[in-house]
Amino acid sequence: MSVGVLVVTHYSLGLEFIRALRLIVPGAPEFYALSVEPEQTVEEMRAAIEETLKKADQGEGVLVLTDMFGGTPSNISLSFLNERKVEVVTGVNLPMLIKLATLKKERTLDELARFIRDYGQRNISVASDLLPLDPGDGK
Amino acid sequence: MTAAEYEQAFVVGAEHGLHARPAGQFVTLAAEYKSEVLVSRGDEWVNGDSVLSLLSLAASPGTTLRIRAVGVDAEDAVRRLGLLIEGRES
Repeated sequence: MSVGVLVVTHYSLGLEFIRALRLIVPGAPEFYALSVEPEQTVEEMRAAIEETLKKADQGEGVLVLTDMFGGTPSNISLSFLNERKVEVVTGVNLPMLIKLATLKKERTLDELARFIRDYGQRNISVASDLLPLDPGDGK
Repeated sequence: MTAAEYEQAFVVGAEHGLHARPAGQFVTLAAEYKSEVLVSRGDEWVNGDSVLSLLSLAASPGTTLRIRAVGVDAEDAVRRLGLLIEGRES
């Protein structure tokens, strides 16, 4: 996949997501994570995001995953929409990152953003719905 | 070689069942093969290239899973993936 991936979150949620991803998929491609800290100024946050966007962009743009729409990490990321080839998807979860790390089919930035939003939503479950009714089935 | 289909049943032997790390290992190993890999618990078949699909099988230790591969290296793929399911290869 040639679209870059950057996770921007409150505190180090994004870094920990990437750690968990690497535990499950050790060969995952290089994804970037940025922590937004409350003591940072907006200018500092913006500069850090811009610098990482440059690193992450291999020419096909960068998919920015944030923890929550309306939060500062999301709001500052959104300010790059008109400046750089960037798409922002809010509400990052581990299934989304695992899927991004194991994708085979190439997608454009726009296609990837919509695909991964749908995938993330689909993988929020009431866990008991996924459990077999009879624990002995399939044996 | 021509495309072949191979299928075999295995009993999950990993201590905690087919949880996230073994599922990640399964997908990584499956990607080394040209064959398409499918896994089933009972009648439900999922793609062997998706960690989340494998996790949705909720396969605890002792569960029987069937692995089916279709492609030129189908038999080797099923055998090695089966060892992983059984907890005999990591």
